[in-house]
Amino acid sequence: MKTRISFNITFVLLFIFTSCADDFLDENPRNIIAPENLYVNKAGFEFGLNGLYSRVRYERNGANGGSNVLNNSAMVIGVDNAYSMMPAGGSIEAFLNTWGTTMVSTNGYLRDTWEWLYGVVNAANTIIIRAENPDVQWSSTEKNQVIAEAKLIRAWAYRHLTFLFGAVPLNLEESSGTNIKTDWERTPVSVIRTAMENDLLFAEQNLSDPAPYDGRVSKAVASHYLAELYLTVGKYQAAKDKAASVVNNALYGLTKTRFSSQSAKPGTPFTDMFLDNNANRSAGNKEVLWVLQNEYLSNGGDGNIMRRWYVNRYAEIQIGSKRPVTFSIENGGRGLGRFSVTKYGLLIYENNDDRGSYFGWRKFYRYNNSASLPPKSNLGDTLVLLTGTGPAHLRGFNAVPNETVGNTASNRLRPSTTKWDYAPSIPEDVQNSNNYNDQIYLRVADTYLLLAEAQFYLNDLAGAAATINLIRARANATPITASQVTLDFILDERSRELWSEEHRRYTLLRTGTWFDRTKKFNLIAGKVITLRDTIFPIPQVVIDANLSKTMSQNPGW
Amino acid sequence: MKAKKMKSLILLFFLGLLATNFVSAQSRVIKGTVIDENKEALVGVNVLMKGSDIGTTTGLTGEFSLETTMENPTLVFSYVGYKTKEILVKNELILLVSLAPDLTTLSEVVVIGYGTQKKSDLTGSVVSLSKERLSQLPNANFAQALQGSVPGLQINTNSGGSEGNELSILIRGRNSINAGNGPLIILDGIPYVGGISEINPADIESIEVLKDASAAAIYGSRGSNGIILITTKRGSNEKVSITYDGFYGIQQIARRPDLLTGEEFYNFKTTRINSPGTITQTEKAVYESGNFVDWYDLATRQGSRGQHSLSISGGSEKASFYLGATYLDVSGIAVNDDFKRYTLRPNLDVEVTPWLKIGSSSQLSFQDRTGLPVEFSDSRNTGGGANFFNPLTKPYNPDGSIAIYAWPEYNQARNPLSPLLVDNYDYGYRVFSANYAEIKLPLKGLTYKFNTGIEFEANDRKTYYGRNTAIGFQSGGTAETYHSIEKNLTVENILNYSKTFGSHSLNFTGLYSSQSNVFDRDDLEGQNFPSDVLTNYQMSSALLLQPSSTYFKQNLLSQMIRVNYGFNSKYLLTMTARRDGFSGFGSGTKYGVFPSASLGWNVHKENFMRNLSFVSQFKFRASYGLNGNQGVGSYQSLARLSYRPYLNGTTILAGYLPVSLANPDLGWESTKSLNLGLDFGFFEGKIQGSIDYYQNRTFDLLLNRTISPTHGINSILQNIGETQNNGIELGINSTNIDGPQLKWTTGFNISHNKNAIVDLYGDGKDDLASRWFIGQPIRVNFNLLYDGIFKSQEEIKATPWAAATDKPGYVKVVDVNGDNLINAFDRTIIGQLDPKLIWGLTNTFSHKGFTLMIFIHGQRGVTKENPLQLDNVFTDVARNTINKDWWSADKNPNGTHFANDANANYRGVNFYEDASFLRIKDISLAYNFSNKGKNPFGVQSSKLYFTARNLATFTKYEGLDPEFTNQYGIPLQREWLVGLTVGF
Repeated sequence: MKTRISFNITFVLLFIFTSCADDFLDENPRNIIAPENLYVNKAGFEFGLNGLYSRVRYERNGANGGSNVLNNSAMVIGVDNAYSMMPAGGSIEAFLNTWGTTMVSTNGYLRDTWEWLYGVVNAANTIIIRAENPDVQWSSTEKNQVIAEAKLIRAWAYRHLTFLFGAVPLNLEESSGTNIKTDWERTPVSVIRTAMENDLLFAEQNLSDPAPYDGRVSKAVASHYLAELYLTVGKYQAAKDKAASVVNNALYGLTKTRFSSQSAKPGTPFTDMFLDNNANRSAGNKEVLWVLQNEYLSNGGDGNIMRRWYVNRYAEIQIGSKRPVTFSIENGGRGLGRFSVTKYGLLIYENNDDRGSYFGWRKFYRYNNSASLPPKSNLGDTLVLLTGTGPAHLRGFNAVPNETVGNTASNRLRPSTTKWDYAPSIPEDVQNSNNYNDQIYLRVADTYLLLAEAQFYLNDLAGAAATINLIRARANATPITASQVTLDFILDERSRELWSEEHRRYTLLRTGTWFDRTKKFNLIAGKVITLRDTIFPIPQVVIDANLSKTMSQNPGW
Repeated sequence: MKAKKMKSLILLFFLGLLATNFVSAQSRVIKGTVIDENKEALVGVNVLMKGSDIGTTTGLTGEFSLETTMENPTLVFSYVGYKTKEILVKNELILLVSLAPDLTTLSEVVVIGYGTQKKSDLTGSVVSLSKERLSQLPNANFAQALQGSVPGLQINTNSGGSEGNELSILIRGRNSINAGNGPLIILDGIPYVGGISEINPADIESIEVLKDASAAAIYGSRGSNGIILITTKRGSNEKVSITYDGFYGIQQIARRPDLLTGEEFYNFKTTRINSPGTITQTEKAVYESGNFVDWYDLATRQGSRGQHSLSISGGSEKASFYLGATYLDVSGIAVNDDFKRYTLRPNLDVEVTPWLKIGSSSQLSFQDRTGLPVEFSDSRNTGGGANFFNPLTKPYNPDGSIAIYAWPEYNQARNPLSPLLVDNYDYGYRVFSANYAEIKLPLKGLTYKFNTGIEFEANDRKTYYGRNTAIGFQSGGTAETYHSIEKNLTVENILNYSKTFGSHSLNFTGLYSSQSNVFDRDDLEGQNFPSDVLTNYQMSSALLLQPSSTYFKQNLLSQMIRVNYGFNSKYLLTMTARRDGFSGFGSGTKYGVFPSASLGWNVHKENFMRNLSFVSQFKFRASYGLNGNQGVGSYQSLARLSYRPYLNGTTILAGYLPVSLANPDLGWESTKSLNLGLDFGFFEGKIQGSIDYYQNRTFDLLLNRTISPTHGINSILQNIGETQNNGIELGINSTNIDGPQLKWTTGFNISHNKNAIVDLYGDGKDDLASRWFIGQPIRVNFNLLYDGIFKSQEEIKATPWAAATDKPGYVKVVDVNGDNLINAFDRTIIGQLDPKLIWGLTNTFSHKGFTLMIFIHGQRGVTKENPLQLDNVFTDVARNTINKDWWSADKNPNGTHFANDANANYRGVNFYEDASFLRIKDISLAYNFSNKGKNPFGVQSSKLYFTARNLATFTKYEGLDPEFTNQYGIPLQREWLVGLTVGF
């Protein structure tokens, strides 16, 4: 009996000791996506590309997915035509007004921006490198299409990085936990631009025209960015060729007629494009090159804060003790008036220009708050912002005061753009913080103006005037003559056409005009900026984490 | 050590008889044997001839021999854990002395993990919670019994609430910066992962706290934060007994913030400078009507706590059982904050054959947390929750129903009472079962124990926000369905060998075990339903469905060897080594080895101590060892991609983006600790206690090291950094009066801990963003330093750093670096958040049937922010605030608080206060009825008791409560309970 027992126990022990094989401690997570199990087939690479697009879309979101700090702040304000009207205290938009000692290398926004863009770079690198894995079963067309999109978005990220920070490390590798680098080096901007050119040329060669569906990039997007890149590096003929290839492409063209369901209502072809449901090529909008996709009540819908940032705080307009204007869809939804147009930006439209009309800029509100009507007034009464003299559609503009900042009553009366209007149609949700509409990111009008710029540099002033006049004609603005074409005129025209759409800071940097024009036209930041502010400081964390090699800071920071 | 049986004693007796023949007449030899209550030999008993320095100790078979010339000597027998006995020896040459155990002293056997040990043989720092402490007070959970009763154990109640689950336990300070700091809880031998509130305190027999490396080393990998061993009650081999215990009590708010009334709020709002301060129509109407809302009143109530528990225990010679059933019902002081717990505990031990014993201890419990409490907290409601909601609003509609928006003009804030309208149920089901089979192997002293534990918890929650609540109104109805399952399986093989040879005793324990933990959660949120009628049961018709799920699994594989060696019970040595493998670490670094060694020296058993008869115990302990902390969850060493979807039209396209890097070198966070201890007992154990000094150095911290974001990823979890905890602990129990009429005992413990970060990322730099500073405790306050207020324009002019924006009534700050500029560089460390000193004092008085117990608990050396000092009312004064002595040039020039001006504290200075406190935690009065006479019901014992809890708190801290981390939440409750225990 006893020997039996001990035999049994020995057996049990042996069993238990040996059955716990080594793989007991191996992790086989069911719910985690890792590079090794994602990039194995075409679908996996497509998932990777979707991740990239999602991060491009992030440009118009709040920092870290919240509803504050617009990620593209530094790209669009602190320039000649835009500033922060009602900044949140201590935020990046406040510092883009005040610069000086408030803009420092430890600023969290700059750090977040660097992290975001290099996150895109690393994700794109991972796709580009892993696409060469011979185990993946796909055709070379499929493979090149994936690599092309990843390369275009990588170039997109370096475009931001070089314009914002100057010479940054050129990272073309997939990051790995076993190879943490502490000796990054800053790559000369020219070298980075060569890499961008290569990426964009590859993309141009391998992408389809138009894109397979809304939201993805096409060959034309690659050509557009190549045109801009060549303008930046002074290759004007190449720039002209690339821009012309898009402008002359019959697939794309300016929206010259009213379209879509809203076309029966008063409006203009120009402003039609920004109305809800009109942004996409599939909706009949042939002018768009790249549209960011959002969706209300959808798990992939995301939502950006463009309207929150650009629509003014009309519900706080006080008449006596009353607040007769309240949140509504026709007022654009609920806004915080964080960003606004400078006096310069507002006054550069001529009377008949659609882009400056009250369809493009909110110049009056109608009383819609029955709970708070001033004495002797009715619902529907018009509240004209800043009354003054002049043509009806511009009324008040002459009386627009200089830029104001902060919690003042007068800035609630400042006109705001209608490009980013949006409110969910559910009445109780009209105060929602986010936009969920599809938004134009890049359109061919921008390419026209790149073409005009190239023509200007190539001294083809007549050609430039002709190109610009195509844009102006669509907006009912008076045609110009070749003698009127100057760089300043092109920049004015870009502001009229692309206000709050283009990365104005990059446009000014490309043309070497940021400092002078901002000083001249931005009455807030213009007083304080110095040449140091032409490029932002390298985020301190980048310098601090570079433990084994000193990384130089940009001059003056 | 008392191994020999009666047979050998008798043999010895005869041998002793023979030996006497050789003794001379003048000096005789007195021989004898000392046995215990079970007639087993006691080794190492001090035998002293009273009035002389002649003495000896008993040998291995309990025998002793003393030569004397005294005629009628008195022999004094003393032994730790036993009552000292004096025997007058007349003619006898051979004595058989039986010592009775002294239950009040150190004889107890304590649970030490994978076995038990006599307290006198301990070499590590192990503290047992006294049984009185467990049984005397009607605690809601075991942590309440531990608070203030074990030196070095810090229990912090983080917020109020019915369940009392919001607490944190720290043993000997905070070792880890990022990884967990909570101790490992072992329930009936099995690691327990569930909530503290889910163990029924009525079922607990004993709690041991293992504090130093040596004691905790047996759980090596997870020992660095200390271990709490909980053992539940078991049956005895006696007749069946039945015990009923029930109590009921009420709960009241211990401290209510002094909020502004409607009138005061109106004045505050209308006189506030630099804020629009527009009184909205609702506010105006309420103000004019005078029907101000006291939101605090609406949100709170008199709470109650009641419990019934019935236990039956007993057994026969071969089997014993314990069966306990308890029902707890708490209605917290916040409206709708309810908690119910039903538990059933069947424990069983069976001696199947002389060599096989099996047993089981299980807990089946059901937790019912149904109902959402009113919104109290600041963060959940932009209107401030019930704490700070505007009193000039209307909580109810004209028909008496709860309004969606109490303040229609400010519909960013929802009605704090709306949770009362939410359809909610919240159930937790838990099974915890520990089972063993113990086999005596053929080799004497060798046993094998097979131990298994299974823990299973399911949580099931459904919540529906209808259109009558703001959440539901804005979303067209929101439904949340939550379901989670957690499984924990432990298998242990324990081999134990005990042997005594000569003066040597040896115990060997070997372990091979595995543990596996799985968590699986499914969550579904639906929005926009056709109607509210079908509540949660209409997910298919939601316009937006947001599912989410979590899954993790972690495995642990361990081997452990422990050797206890004792020489004459005087010199004790324990050596332990444990090797652990954890699945969550990198492929090459999954295993860690954690050795430790400790020594004990029972000085009082030495001959030279024999004359100091007032010393009943004097023992030195020293231990040194290494413990680990796995501290991170699963999959942390793997590269991961996060979900970043995109769209094609309305079709969602899955998208992924790399977010973390693999770290195949990720491994154990480790703590080296040294413990020096002294256990003492005087006057037959009337005064006893221990002093411990410890030094813990934790290194290879699991920290997120910041890497250059140029990698596209900002940090990687690595083993870097180092922290240190040094401390001293004292615990004393004394019997001050032990008379027939009155008995008075005191238990006191105090501990001091000094915590510091030694290094972070290897570059000697502080981490400002995380507020971690080298040389400072892990948790500190770091901010601008308040320096009163400006009282005049002259004062501002005289202040070099003052800016044009500064005005009289505005906050002054200290220009810490003296550069005449106030900016981020003037932030400074303002005290620490973990206490430097914690203490507890229990006094118990017994007189006839009455027992009165008073327990006081305190902390010192804590500094906490008091957010209530700020006027966080938003620019448009959307929230209430508490009453303050606002400075005003004309109306209140002697005011102490900054002016009622939106810009008065524009630099955002926070207020820090000394959060040291002394709290009269419990006062309990019990009366034990005498049941000597016969009674018709067979009542054996009965006790009536009355307890008051959180009776008074003495502190300089002016926030909600000095112990809380959330000063906006549900306040602390004061309790008055009455209870009855009857035993049959």
